[in-house]
Amino acid sequence: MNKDISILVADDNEMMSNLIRIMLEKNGFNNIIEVRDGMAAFNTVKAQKIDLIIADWHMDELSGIELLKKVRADVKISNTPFIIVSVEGLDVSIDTAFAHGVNDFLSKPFTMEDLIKTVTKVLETSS
Amino acid sequence: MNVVYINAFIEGSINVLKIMASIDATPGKPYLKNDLNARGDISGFITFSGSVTGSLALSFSKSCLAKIISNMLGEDQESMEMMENAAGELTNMISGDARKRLQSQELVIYAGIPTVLSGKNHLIKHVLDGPSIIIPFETPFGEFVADVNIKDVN
Repeated sequence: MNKDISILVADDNEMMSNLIRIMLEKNGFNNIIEVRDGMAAFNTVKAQKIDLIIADWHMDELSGIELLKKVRADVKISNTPFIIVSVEGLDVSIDTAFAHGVNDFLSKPFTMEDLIKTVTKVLETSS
Repeated sequence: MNVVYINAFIEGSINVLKIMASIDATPGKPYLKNDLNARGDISGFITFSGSVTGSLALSFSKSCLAKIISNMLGEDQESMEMMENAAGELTNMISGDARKRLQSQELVIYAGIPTVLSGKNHLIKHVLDGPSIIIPFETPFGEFVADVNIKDVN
């Protein structure tokens, strides 16, 4: 797997964003961009090539699910692989995310193995 | 307060600390709290609606929270901003874990957005009046408490 791909991590909680970045870096992914809200994430995806979006469900400006809808509605970036991270592990939340085209859903709390397994699966099925 | 809720918060706290920070949290005996004073330096606070109404605060000492962050990230991060981030996120995850456990008992519980309170003498003002229940937890790095006050809607 190419680990030079660009991964965008969107989370308004700096600690969780750092945690995801560190977990990815420990597994060889070295091109990670962090943003703090959904609108900044959308602008980043529009402005540069992003190979994978990992977004928290709850964010200011634009939530993870709203970001997902905007990405999927924009023909130029609609195929960007997308993982939503949330404590919203309730069935209805997962169903909502998949109905809007998310590639996978990572429920908090998660281990580094959970994150890497999810990222690997999404990248392999999206390529 | 229904013991089912107490157990869900105990199990949620143990699970989240274990998974996210590899820390073993041991619950102590719950007791009633009749004042508003937080039992820690930094507290995450979250409200509930749906099958229940009420709120949960998780109060940490700075030293315990710093160690939790260090274990999670693999590096020391002791800024106040990072500690507040951690308190809010841990509260979010523990309440989420507890809600998922309660969902299996056909209780549908929604949570608000977590907020963070800090300072040596900060106060916890629950949604409900009356005493809350403190669930103390011991870790190898100090104590934290879950301060919970919820009741069934029906």
